[in-house]
Amino acid sequence: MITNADWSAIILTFKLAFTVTVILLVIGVPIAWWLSRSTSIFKPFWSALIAMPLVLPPTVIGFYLLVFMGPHGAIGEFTHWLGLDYLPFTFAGLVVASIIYSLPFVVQPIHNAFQAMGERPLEVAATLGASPIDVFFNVALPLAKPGIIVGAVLGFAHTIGEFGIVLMIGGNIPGETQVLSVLLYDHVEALEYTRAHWLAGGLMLFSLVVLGFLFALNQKAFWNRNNARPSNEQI
Amino acid sequence: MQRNKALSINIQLPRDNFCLQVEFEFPATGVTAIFGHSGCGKTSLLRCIAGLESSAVSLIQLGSTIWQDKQTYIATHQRSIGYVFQEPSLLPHLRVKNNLKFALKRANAGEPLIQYHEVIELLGLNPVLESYPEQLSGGEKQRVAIACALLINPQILLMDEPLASLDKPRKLEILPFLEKLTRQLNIPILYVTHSTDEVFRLADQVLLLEQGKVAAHGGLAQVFSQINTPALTPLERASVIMGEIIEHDTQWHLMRVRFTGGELWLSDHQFKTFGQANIAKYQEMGNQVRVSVHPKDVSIALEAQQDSSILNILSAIIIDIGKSDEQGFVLIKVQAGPHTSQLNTPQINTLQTKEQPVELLASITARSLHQLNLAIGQLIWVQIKSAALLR
Repeated sequence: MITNADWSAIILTFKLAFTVTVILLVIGVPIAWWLSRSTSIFKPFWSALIAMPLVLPPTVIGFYLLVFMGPHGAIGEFTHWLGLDYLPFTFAGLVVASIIYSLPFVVQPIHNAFQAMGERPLEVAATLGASPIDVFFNVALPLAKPGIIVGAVLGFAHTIGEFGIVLMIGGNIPGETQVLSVLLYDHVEALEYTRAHWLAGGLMLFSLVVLGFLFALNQKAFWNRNNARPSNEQI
Repeated sequence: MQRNKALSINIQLPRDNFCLQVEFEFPATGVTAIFGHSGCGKTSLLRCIAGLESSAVSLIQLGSTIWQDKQTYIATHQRSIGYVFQEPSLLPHLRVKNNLKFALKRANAGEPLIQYHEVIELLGLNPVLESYPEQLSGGEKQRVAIACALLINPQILLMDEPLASLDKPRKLEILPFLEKLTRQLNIPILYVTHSTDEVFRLADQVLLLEQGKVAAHGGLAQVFSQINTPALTPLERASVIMGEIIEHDTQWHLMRVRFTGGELWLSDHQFKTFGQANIAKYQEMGNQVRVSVHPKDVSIALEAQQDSSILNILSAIIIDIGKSDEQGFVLIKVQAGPHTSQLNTPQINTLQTKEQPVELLASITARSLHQLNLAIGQLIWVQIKSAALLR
């Protein structure tokens, strides 16, 4: 059965994933927009930096974050100077680490969506008197909506699923940093397979429902749009 | 708001294979066609004017408002333009009515150029208002795009080959709309095209571009009857005649069209089949018509032939003789009109009107030129085998 400790980990995990997804959308959309519009010679560098988590083992990122956010690291000294705790082994630390780790999963699909729409709708809007801000909010964002939804879902799912980086930076503090994936590992280590089954099975079911819902939503939008008008326009 | 402001430009834009270099002042009224072959820089020129080519070194000024010079760069959304792209371009995420609203919301201040319901009516948009752009045909999309460009209440309308990406039936569907529009609007319109059909039907003035430079400019008839410009191919050269219907001979199904310097008989069949127009409609519009005559359909005779099947035989004077692009042929430019004596200077003619006399091109063989011993200033007769009604 699901125990209190399990529930605590489940709630913590979703809280983390939700917080991280919201922050990632807020910073990921402008980054993706900049990447798709900029002609800067530094663009490849920034693209590479953002994409690094895709290729690096999570433990590598976790290790460096642990070092930088600790008492002797630059970020650690900064948070100390602000009068805050050191970030490792806190929920805030997990949020920061997850943001960095999941950033490419959110930026990539949004970037693709911005690129796929091309220059034309933006030029059309400009000739219709829309300022760049106006174009961004009323043309680019609505057109990139499918990409933004995909980015959000990927970011959310990826945060729920991460393990290595959490272990490196968050440890295993119940109620503070003990997330589902880590707790599951604990159960397996302790040979408590029944509890492990509940968590693992629940997570699988959850993923299936969310993804199914997402695909259904996409398909419905597609059907609605294509049935809005009888197809006699070719006459 | 004062309409009819003249646009003056001095644009330099390096391209891959040439440099666009145009200094020009567009007339403040009417349709100016920017005509040239593919890749001559027409579209780039229009994009520079709209502020869509930021790398151009330009001086662009509409009336007294500077859009661009060394210090100034007014962004596209702040230029008072309406722009119609070559590929029908709308905001794909909005229904047609919301595309129109998008433009309406951001319209320039001042008395509207045209009312919302007028646009809907004129462009026939009522059946498609609830649709998304992807559900429309190319022609429908382009009509919506034109409507948007008008609803923004611009001081100048820029149209980049609005019909080029459409098939023939769609073209014929939109052309009448464009004609109505261009007659109704009192702002300058720049119309980029490589189709002589569209130029002849729509334009008042022409800017002829070749390899990024101005090859010729002026009135429609004047530009297209130029003999010595490589910017026109033999098929594109034509004489455009503006005239007035003065008689309808119902027995022989002929219409009499009078122009400065003569008259033409045209089959009334053309009036009946031409687009949506019919004879009654022409009478409503003051019987004004445009006719084009191809140089190959014009022959020259030294005497008026009485025994010919050709209906239209006009007296004229030779004002220029030039080489044709086709080997063995020459182009003769004549001025129609009842000239009384041999004249050496082309500008003198016996007509009392102030209107530009009609000039016709004739394509004849070099041998005929030699045998008839034709020369500039000579009085001759031109025989016109066929003339096409443009509008």
